[in-house]
Amino acid sequence: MEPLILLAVMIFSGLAIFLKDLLKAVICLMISSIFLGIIFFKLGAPYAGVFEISVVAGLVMVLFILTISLVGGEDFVKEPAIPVIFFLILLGIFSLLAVFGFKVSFIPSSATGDKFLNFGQVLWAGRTFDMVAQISVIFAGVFVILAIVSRKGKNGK
Amino acid sequence: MFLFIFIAVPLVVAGFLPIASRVSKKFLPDFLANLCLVILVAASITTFKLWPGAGSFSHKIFWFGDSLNISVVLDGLSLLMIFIISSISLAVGLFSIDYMDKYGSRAIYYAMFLVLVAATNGIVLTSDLFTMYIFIEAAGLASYGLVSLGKTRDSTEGAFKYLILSAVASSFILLGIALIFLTTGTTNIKEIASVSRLVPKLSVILFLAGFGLKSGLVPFHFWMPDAYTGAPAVLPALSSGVFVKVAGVYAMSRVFFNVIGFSYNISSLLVYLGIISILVGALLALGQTRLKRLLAYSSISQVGYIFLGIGTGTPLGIIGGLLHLFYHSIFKSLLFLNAGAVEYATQTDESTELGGLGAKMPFTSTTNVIGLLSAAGVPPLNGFWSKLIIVIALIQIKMYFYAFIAIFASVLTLWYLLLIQRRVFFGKLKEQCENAGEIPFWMNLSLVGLALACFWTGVVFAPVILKWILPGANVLVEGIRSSINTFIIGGS
Repeated sequence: MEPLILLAVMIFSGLAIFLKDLLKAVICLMISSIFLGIIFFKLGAPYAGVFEISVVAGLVMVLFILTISLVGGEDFVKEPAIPVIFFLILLGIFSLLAVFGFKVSFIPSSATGDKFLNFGQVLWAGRTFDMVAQISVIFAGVFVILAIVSRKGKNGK
Repeated sequence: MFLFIFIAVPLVVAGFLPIASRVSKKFLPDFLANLCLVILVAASITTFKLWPGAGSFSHKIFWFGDSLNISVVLDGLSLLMIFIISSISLAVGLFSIDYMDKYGSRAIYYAMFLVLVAATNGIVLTSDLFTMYIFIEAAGLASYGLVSLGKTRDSTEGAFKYLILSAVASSFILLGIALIFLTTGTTNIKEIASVSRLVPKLSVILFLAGFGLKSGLVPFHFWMPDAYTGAPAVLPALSSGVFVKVAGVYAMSRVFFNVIGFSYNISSLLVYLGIISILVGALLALGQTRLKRLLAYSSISQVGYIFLGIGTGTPLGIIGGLLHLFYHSIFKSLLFLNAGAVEYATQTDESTELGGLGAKMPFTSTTNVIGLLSAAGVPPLNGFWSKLIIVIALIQIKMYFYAFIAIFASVLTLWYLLLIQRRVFFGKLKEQCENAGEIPFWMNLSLVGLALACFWTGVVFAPVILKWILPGANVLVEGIRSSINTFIIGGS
């Protein structure tokens, strides 16, 4: 199961870099973050998983979508090739490290939390207030985009 | 459950407003949003009456008999902030009834406004650093939206700049929290405070940069003039009066005093940044001709006073800093709303195009004079007492040079604000102002209310300090005391 999730992280991260449509790239990055969050859970770091999903898959995505709305993301962006090359080099390095069985020597155990909690338990038992805060983030994101969209509609551009 | 209404009620009303606007586009959004704000003010006053005067109380939230893991905590400092958020928001909400006519959908505007209020209340009431961070982001998102409501290219540019710089600030804050989590294994404020010696020094720098950006302290102030200039006047009033105070000053004070532990180095940093902001903000304001831009620079300078007071770390300095935080929220919101009133009547906030408005707008002219005299620290208005206490606190710890700069900047403030008053309201009536008239009732009510608050809180400053400021100052002083204890116990 874990190799499949890792593969999904790699594929969606790759898509986030290669896709020219900004909105689709952002959605791929969000899916990749959700899978990464699941890996954190599998590795016994449930709090890191919740933070990853909260911050990266939730909040940062709202910020990205908001920025796209502000600057107008309809046009495809002509990008330099450097990020793609950089991504391929990093992918190669990490693949080699994985193949040759590289082991991380230091994992800070203090920050991993209780390994025996599942996602629901961590979210419900430990981070319920975060959900209220996330609702505020989602509300703010939706209203801001509505305000920008309605303004653009009225201006005709 | 009672404390949770400060977050839940505005959020629920915000969610309901777009639906309500299908029935009535103007009346219902105005009515519901302002009713919600009146409820929040009433709730904050009730909370104050129930407040035992010291310590903190926390509430667990129940859902159909089951305890949810939502714990809202209230102490003297958060009580003060809740009251500031509610009352300034109500003043801005009343002003918006007539002012927001030309800024598109009211329902969406009020929805963003209420999300901002709910999120700032969340920042103040949470007992967890990570939750605080998410609420800061939610409030920030709502602010970007409010900035972009201005219909000019300036406002979109301002919103974009604000968004990018705020994202940088948020990254710093998040990284600081991540480092704390890495070393302590928790994000709970109380638990971190009990092991504050484990907190890495790097997180102090990250928090200083992150919260400094949110507060608009020099050298992190670049976003403020651009964001405020293009936005509708209600945004700078709300941002300068509420958001900057909560996401910047309150959050930084809470983290430095009650989480990480106050030290001599942090004190020095806050004092230096405070004094630089006071001077740079006042000097940059001198050359400005656009009202909201000038007031933005003035805000940078006034926030400097707050940090200067709090940064001294003495009980008197902290009282002065918190008092200035409270008073600045009132008079700066008043001044920004006055600028909005002028813009509403003349379609411009460029002071070189204005003149002789005093005869056409006597109420606005009078409230503007009260606001500027408060900002400059003229007795018996409120700004005088807070600045006086900060200066006395500086003299008490023999920081004579800083006390001199604080007084000098106050004279500069009086100078540039009087220049603006003379240019805009006195002198010969200019062409741009010929069709101007007094602003509508709700806008006037809001301005007069804030002007009276400037006067009244100045006259009765002693009860204000005893009842509202002292409990808040005690929370920060307690933070210093426990850091000293940790240092002594840890060192022996």
